[in-house]
Amino acid sequence: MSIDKTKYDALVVGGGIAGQEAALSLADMDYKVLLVEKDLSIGGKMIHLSKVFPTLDCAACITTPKMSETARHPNINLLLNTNILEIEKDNGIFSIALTIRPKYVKEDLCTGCQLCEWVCPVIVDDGFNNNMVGRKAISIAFNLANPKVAAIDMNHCIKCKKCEIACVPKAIDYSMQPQNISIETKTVIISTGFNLFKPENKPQYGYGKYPNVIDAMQMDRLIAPTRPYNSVVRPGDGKIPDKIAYVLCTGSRDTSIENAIGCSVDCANNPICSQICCMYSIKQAQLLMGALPLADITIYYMDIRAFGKGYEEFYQQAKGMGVSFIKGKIAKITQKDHNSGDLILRYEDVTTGTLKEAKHDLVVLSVGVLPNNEIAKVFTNQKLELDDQRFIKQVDELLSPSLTSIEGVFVAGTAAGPKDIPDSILSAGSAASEAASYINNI
Amino acid sequence: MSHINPNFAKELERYGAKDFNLCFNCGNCTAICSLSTKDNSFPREMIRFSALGLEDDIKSSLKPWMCYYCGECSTDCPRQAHPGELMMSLRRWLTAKYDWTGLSGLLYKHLSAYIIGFLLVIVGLIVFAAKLDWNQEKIMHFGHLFEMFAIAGVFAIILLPNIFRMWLYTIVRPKVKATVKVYYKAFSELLVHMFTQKRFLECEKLQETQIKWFEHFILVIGYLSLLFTTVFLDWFGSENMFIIALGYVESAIIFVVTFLFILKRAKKTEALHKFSQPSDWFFVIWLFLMGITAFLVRLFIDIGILQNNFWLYLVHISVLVQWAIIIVPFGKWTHFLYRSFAMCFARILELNDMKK
Amino acid sequence: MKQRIGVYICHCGGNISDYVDVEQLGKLMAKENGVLISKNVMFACSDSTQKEIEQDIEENKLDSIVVASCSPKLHTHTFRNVAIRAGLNPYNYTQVNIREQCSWAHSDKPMDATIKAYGLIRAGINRVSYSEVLESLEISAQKVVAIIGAGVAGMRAAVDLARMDNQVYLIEKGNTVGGHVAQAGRLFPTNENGKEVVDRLYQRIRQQSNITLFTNATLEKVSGSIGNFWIEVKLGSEELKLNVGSVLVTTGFDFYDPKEGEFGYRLSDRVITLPDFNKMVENSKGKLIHNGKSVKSVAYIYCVGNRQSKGENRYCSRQCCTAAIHSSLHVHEKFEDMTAYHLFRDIRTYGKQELLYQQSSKNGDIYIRFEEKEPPVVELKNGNPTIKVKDYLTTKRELTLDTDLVVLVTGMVPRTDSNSVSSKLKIPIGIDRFFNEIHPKLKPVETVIKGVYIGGACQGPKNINESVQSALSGAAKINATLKSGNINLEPIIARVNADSCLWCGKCAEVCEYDAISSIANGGKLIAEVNKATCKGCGICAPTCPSNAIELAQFTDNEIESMIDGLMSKAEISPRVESQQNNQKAGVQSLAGYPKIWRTIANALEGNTLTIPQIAEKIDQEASLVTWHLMTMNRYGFVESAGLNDNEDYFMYKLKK
Repeated sequence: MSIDKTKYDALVVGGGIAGQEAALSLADMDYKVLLVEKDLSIGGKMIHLSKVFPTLDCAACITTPKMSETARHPNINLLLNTNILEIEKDNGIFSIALTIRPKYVKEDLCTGCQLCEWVCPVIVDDGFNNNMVGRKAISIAFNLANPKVAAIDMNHCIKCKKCEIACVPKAIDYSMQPQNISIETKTVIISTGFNLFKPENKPQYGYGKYPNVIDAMQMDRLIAPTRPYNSVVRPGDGKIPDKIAYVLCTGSRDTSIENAIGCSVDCANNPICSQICCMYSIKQAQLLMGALPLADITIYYMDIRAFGKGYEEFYQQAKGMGVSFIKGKIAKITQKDHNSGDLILRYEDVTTGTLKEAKHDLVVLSVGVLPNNEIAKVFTNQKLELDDQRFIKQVDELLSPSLTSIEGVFVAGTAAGPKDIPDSILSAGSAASEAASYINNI
Repeated sequence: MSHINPNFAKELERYGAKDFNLCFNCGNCTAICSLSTKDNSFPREMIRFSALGLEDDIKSSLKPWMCYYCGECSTDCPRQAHPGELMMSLRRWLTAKYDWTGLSGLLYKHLSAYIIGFLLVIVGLIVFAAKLDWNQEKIMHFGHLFEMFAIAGVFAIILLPNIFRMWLYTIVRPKVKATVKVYYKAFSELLVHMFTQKRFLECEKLQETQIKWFEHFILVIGYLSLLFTTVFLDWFGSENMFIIALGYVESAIIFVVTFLFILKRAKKTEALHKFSQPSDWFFVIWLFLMGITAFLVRLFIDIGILQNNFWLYLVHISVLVQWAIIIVPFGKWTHFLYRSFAMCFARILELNDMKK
Repeated sequence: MKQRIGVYICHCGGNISDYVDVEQLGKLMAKENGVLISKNVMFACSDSTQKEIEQDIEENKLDSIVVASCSPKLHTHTFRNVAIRAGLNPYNYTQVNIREQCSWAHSDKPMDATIKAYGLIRAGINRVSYSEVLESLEISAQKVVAIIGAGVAGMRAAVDLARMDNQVYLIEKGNTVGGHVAQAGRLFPTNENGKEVVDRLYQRIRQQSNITLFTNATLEKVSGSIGNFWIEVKLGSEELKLNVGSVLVTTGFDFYDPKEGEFGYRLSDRVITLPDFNKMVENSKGKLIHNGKSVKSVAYIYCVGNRQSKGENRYCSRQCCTAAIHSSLHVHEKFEDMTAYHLFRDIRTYGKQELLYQQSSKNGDIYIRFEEKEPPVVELKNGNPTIKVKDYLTTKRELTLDTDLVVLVTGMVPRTDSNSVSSKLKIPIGIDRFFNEIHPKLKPVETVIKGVYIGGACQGPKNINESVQSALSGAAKINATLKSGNINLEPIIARVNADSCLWCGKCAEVCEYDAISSIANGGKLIAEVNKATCKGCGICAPTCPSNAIELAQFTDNEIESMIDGLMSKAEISPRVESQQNNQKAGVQSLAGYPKIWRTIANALEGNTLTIPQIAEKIDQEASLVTWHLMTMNRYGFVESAGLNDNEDYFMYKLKK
């Protein structure tokens, strides 16, 4: 099928689970969809995960088929490594200016064989594994990436040409330039997802200072099938942990963040609840009970918010498995002994009303959800409004949850506020329904 | 079994408590506090008692006095419930509860009561001075006499009975049975804390704390020794060079340090200075005024211009009287006594527990 | 019999291969009859593997494929599509489940799990070798949707379905629309009034000429199947039969009705439920009055009828915490000097709803935490309630409080008539007794009955916004299905051998979907299967005395060959730890790599060391060594040499 590559019914911004669902729903209704993703692969945050609550399905088993369906759908055109420069609305039509950043590898020639990666001598942080391990400066984004194509990290490449020599189909091209294109569309669906709270912004917890304080996304990588260490060990010294702590509400329900570090833009106070951290922590705890049967796992919480279908049962199940739940917010974490790398957590055990200190050999910070609202800046002649928490504002939250302040622009998933995966998927389906109704009545 | 009193929160707000009901009981304040211990965990417990209005529990607790308001709990409170300020308010409330005359409570709750009190003092002084025909010598003589009697009177009539009541609430009524030996052992705490506030040094952020502690320490020493110098060594009347110089140094310390305190309160950069109550302002300003007027009075004596500027002494004596019969017995000054006694009583409880 | 079979055995990234010896199975299957290719793959469902299978089919002219991975519920369609793209009939493919049925179920006995997987895969190979080419059935579909239940979810879905050019029948059993929302008063988070929201929605429905609303309408009977359902509806004395292409069920929920005496309920008029309280607040002006008495204090008891670890409602109703807090805010705003006590277990104001909780605390509401094992006790003296509760925020101290009113924050339960709706539409019911979706992430609004979708709170507790999203999600799926007017159906249905059928009628008797009827054929009556209604359940096949009816893809040949495959003796040898499949490494020269790699390699020369040992030896931070060593491991320069004596660290050695 050939499609006019400049005219679409819908532009979907962001290829995470919500973006894929919205794009697929619209494409299934025979609308032409352009899905734009800023990263090298679609998949969003979900493809990073190990398993998902409360069914404990492996995340890849649910995402990868959706990713391939999205990539293959005849009505969906996919642009990766692409940024949106400008969105202008005229006479009900959105004109979009895009720029495709160069991968320095010709996508149509690359077979994803990774020969280039094996010969490359430059080691960089592996972002997919949250920098817990290195990867080569030329590599595919991750094993299950879609499309599975290599790209060069030009910030680190030393142009030694080893990859160019190794590449059989001659796909490497150091001279590639950014490519600007423009398209037109009738609707825009914003599914740009969220940012994770940067745990450095809570200095009391020592993230970045103590190597055995990690965030929950790193833990999800450690227990994923495509994990970086082949088993669950501490990034500080490779020890198999046997006393693991979860610090819930790291960067959520917290209006003291600005006081601690005195900044206001990317580390602002976050009074709201992130909605997912209780559950993903309980999930990880259950998985760790399986991976490390001898380990003690303690979850320090304020309220356990197991509210979705099957979640309360999942929480009770974790309790039954022997995960300890202690009500009390961790006030600070210190590493008293550099050699052991163990950490002391200071908290009040709220139920007994006493101050306590607990020693753990690995601490997981259950970081929260912050808005990702960069997209609001690209609208030139219309204003995409944000809510008080700087998420995309839903103008009719009860009856038309996807409507935004611009007619024809819809929001799906966590771009509008924290959501778990099932809710993001429903929100994307609902955005597709509203967008389709809108297109049908233009 | 304790009965909830939802009106207590409103009562406490009149003592300066702010938004403490925002607390969602995470315990962060208790855990971040470096003075809080396993056996003496606070401030969350106090916030909880306040929210539920468990007055008896608060009245019998010494924990509000254990806090030196470094402000870390307030800075780190995820709900901005200002636990530090609550502890401060509880100290005010306790001061009012200890006071048998009830005047403390009146003054804390009504700014107007303060002002009326201050004005009455001024009017009384003018009447008194007029009766003495504005005779400088006589007035200064009575001024000196007043100092002595005020100290003795305020102590005997107000402060001692109040400390007795504090002892009643915190030791006697909770049925703590301590031997004389225990009292004797604990007594040393009283003196140590009264003169050094050494517990303050245990607060986190060492350098900042040390500076704060030092300021507070020299202020207390300066104040006590100036009291001694004026009352017992008759600074204003003395000819002894050493005594004169000593008085200058002491009064200078007072007004310089309090001036810094006033500036900090006005700037509100630190958590503990965010919500100043009238009682806080009066305390530092009157101390400052006392220090600076005393300094100037002696200076005027030394350069021989006091006679022509006798108003200065009248200002000084009115500040002094206001201080001595309003702020000292019913205002913030009392924290100096109560906190020291609280340390002593806490030690009694601790020694008693150890025996068990 | 197929002679060019491709077999793909999935590691599932360790989910399977940690227990089942996938590599050995791969080698064994290569020897099976008719198998041309047998491979192990990391993730069979990943895009690259799908491409690889397609390539294999095309290059090797495979005539059928077997994928041994997870449950067919997950990926049947994924691999059918692989077959289609490679030009193979999608029914020449068999899915074998060696994850749920082997590795997960027998993780304690890896050897037995492998033996079982061996049998299952052989059965799959045998079956696929008898597989036939089947063509999917295309039927025409009505662009008409029946929505059962006109609460906000149903009404809102009706609007969009109509706007997407579908004819909509909105069927409501009550005499008004809007369900619970119409009576809810002020709503969170927007503070709109429930009645106004429903009115607004009703106006939008009125604007759509292609929505027909039936009130006082009861669902009587449902027959037919996707594309052509027949919905029989009773409207008073009148009966209607509607022909629709798809059904969206949005029947909502009931509030839990507390038992007599539960927290004093029904023993005093001072104990009421939250929905009743909200109505009272809505109707009071100036002062909050309940049965003639003024109310100054309200105690809310949370989780009533929910989170019962031993009762029947184990789940959390997710919206009640916020609803109670929002009511309390409303009361605070509307009436002066109100006192509120919240007796809760966990406050679950997730997301932005946390701001409401914050505001309520700011207003001075008192929160008291109890645990299920020590619930609050409501005592009534002359009908006036006093509550005794152990407060878990105050060292479990026993507190008493006097209150003018006790409000029971009741959770959601399934509709009392949900069983009847479910049996008419054949929607499965979950453990929580709400309607069950197929999968919460993959198919959250679909049911196992094709063409029947669920939306809103009938699937599980939801607030308004979430109900609307789920119903609209259903609307999107329905529109996609009906849009073209044609639907492709699975050809896995019953078929009748006209020669041997004698029409005894036994098959029709057992068919739960009324899919079999008789038809004249060559002078005799034989059974005929309605292709659209037949679900392919297979219940008819064993009842036939003359073996004349069978199910496609489940023919006797296929089933018998599967049994043969399962029964054959497995010759599995104990697992040999295979080398990491990083054979590509080969590059042992560390020239050009970071200097620390060479230092680490020197330290490991002739040694096996733990990370702290390496760190000490080369005088570097252990965390830095971890990072580099793991990267070296990833690229095949070093490998693990098992655990140390204390079993707390892995040891590493150079890879030769």
